[in-house]
Amino acid sequence: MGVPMPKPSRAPLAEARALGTPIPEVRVSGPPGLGSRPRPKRIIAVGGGKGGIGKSMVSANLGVALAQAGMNVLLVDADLGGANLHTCLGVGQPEATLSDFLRKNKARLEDVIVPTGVPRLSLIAGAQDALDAANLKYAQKQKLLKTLMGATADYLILDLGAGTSFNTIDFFIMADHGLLVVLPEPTSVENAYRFAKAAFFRRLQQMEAEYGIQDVVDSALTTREGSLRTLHDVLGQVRRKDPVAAERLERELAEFRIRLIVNQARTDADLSVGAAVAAAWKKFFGIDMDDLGAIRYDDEAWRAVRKRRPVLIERPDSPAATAIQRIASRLLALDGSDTSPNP
Amino acid sequence: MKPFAQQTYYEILEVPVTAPMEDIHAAYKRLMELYAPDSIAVYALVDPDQVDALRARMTEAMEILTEPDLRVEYDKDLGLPALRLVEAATPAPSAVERAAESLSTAVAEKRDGAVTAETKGAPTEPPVAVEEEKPEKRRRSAEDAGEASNGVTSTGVQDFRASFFTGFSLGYVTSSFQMSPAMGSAVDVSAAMSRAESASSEAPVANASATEGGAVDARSRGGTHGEAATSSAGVEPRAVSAPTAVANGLQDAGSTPLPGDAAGQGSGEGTVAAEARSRAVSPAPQAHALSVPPSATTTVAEVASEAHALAASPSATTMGAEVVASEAQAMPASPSAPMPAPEAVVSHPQASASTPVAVPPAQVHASPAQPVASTGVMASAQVEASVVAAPASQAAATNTAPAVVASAPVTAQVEVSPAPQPVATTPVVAPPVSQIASQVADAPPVVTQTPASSELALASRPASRPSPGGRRLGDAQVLSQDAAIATAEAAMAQVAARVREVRPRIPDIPSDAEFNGELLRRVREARGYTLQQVADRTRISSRHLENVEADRYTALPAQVYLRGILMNLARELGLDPLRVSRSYLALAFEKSGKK
Repeated sequence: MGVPMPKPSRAPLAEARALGTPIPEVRVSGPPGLGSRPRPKRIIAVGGGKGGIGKSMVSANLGVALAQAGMNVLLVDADLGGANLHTCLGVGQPEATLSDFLRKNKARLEDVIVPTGVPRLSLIAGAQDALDAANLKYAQKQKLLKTLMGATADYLILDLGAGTSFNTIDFFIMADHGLLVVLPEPTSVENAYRFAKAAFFRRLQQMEAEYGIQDVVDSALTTREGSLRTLHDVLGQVRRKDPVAAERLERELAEFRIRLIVNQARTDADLSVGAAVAAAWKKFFGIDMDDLGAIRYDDEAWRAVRKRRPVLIERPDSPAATAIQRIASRLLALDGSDTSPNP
Repeated sequence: MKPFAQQTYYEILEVPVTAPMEDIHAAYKRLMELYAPDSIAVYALVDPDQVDALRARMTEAMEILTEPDLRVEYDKDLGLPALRLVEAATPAPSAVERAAESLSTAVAEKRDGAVTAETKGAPTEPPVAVEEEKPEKRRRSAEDAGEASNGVTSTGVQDFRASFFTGFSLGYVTSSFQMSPAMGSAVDVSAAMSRAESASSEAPVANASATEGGAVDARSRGGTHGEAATSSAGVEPRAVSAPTAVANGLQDAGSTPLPGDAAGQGSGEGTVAAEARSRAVSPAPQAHALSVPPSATTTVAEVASEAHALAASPSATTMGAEVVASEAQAMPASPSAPMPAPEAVVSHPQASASTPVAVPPAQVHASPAQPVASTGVMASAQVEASVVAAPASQAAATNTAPAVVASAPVTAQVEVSPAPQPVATTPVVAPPVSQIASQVADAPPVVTQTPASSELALASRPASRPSPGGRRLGDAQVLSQDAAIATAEAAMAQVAARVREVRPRIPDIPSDAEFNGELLRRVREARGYTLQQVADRTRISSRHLENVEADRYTALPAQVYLRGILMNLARELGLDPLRVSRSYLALAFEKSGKK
């Protein structure tokens, strides 16, 4: 996955200059052994399957929270068909967007990075002009993925679009933290499960060549009756053929961990939906999911969106803002405890 | 990662195996809410019937685990120590303290009179031994001890102590079980079952007046390595309020395959060859039934028990071994109880680790011979104990197995002599009557337990603990019967599973055979399928199948379709699809001259 970038992007530097603040030392992150090859220290993807559940709101505010915690954060609006992350941040119509980067052959990522007005937080806005941007071609997607992997930042946050198309899923599974936003309502939970399943199967598919299990994975993806339905089945099948490969496969699948965020929790019971979903997921699929916490339904958050400002800046002491801060610190703690760089 | 259908009841309910009853109920309640049909968490996660299946299994789990008896049985099936029959009321630390306390008293007592009619001092379970255990084991055993002691509070001090120790030592056994759960379970169900069977009965202590109950427990702990076998033997004669005094011998787990010795078990013989390295041996209080009226004997079944593999030589143990005193006393029958005086006694050297204590190794001979009227089994055990002061003593394991047939009582002798080498025991088995052979150390005893025999055989197992909630002696019979049945069932299930796996043999097909319709028909018939069944399963119309088998080439569909039919059919019959289709098509081509 780690493909060296032609040039390290200097986003935080550029932004710092733009803001007139003292220039922070740009940290070259990554494993010490790899020298100066730049890459984001951590990639966070925010998905959820269903639309309108607050993915962009969570992404924007999480970015703010992490930036406030001293991290250099690059937000990327990967919702190719319906970008509005810039709106959540109050950036206005950006003059450079992801589609500029995708369209131009020689474009560099740093050319499309725009400051957000929040220190250490910069943005790559989603495609606005190209109406066919949602239908990313394979080569474009590869280019984007590689480029993003090479971006320099402590955190790269990908705000994904709704749906479970491969364009979305591929961004999701490339991340270190796949955040799954759900609302405590059946429609959202339903989509979240579908999203999670799709992510795992996509991940399997990517690994399939390596393990020689193409046929098995394909049959798992086609949900005809009698075909493999769950990861257990897939693993069982692989195990029959090659126990060693199955073990590695299992380990790798377990490594990819989805973290849940329950948004718009209105009741106390809603607060525990994340834990319940994680438990049920584990029970049926044997894969761990983390519950990062719930964000209370908060009028302040809604008002902040109306004002086109992140609630974390607008009302830092509102319940929603504190919840997001808690989630951000949990993520930081996770990364802090996990010292091994995750290539 | 395993599907819930394969999870244990504990995993299903997401509770630790030691969870007390309330926790299980609480977990069940919580899970039922979580997996309620209208729960948002499972909405669209899986098919509704899968959720229903999960709920059904959870209910089943809750029902089993909240029923103490069933739970014990289930634990045995799992190969788990049955520790938690009784909820631990006493916090572990206090149990340890108590252990220490009684240890000291025991030591003191021991000093004064090694041989008294009643020995009360239990030789001591050195706290050190506890210390060596891994923390969790320690916790467990302590807990266990706590439980045990708790259970017995009402009884006299001695009983208390005796049972306390019993509990304690059982705790050890348990933990050893636990150490090798994988092996144990890997081995086979029947093994696990028989282990279960060996579970003993713990007799509730009745009144001290009638008898002095002592518990003898000898156990050796096997190290984690397969080489060691653990056997625990406890003899606990207890007086039951009824006139009948029963002495129960608990038989040692040795007779059953222990988890530790996976190797021995695999074969199903249930033999354990192991050298016992015992690290901790439990004290053996000994018991004798004092006042057992002779008449009582008729009704009494005595089990002789025995066995004990005791300590390993100190050097053998990784840590220095110490032997702690065991005192064994042999009390011949009390005066009142003339001949058939059950007596049991055992001693046990304890080897424990770090602190060397000079302890007398004890020798015990137990020859149990007791006439039992109704059951026809009697065993009386005589034990001689010699006390030797040897700082480093090694105990040899021995065992005993009394098998007694009604008509001809057989006496078994147990000798425990401090010998570096484990002694093999010979199991005596009287087929019609069942008996228990316990074995120990390296001798692979065969465990034969016929259901009938089960009544007598009591094995001491971790499961047994004197607990208020525990089983009473009277249950032993039922228990062991159940266990025997379970064993038999497990064995049958195993056989059945094996049979199931083997598909009906298909006729030998030479490698150059031509797959014509006739051969395909023979294979199908050998499989036991009717044409219609094959048609239903392959979704090939039976008309086509008939034509294929009849080699009516002209009536068959075009080659492309025919190939598909043949391949599906071959797959269904367990043949190589390519080979069948190629061969058949070649024939068809040749014979019909078309295509």
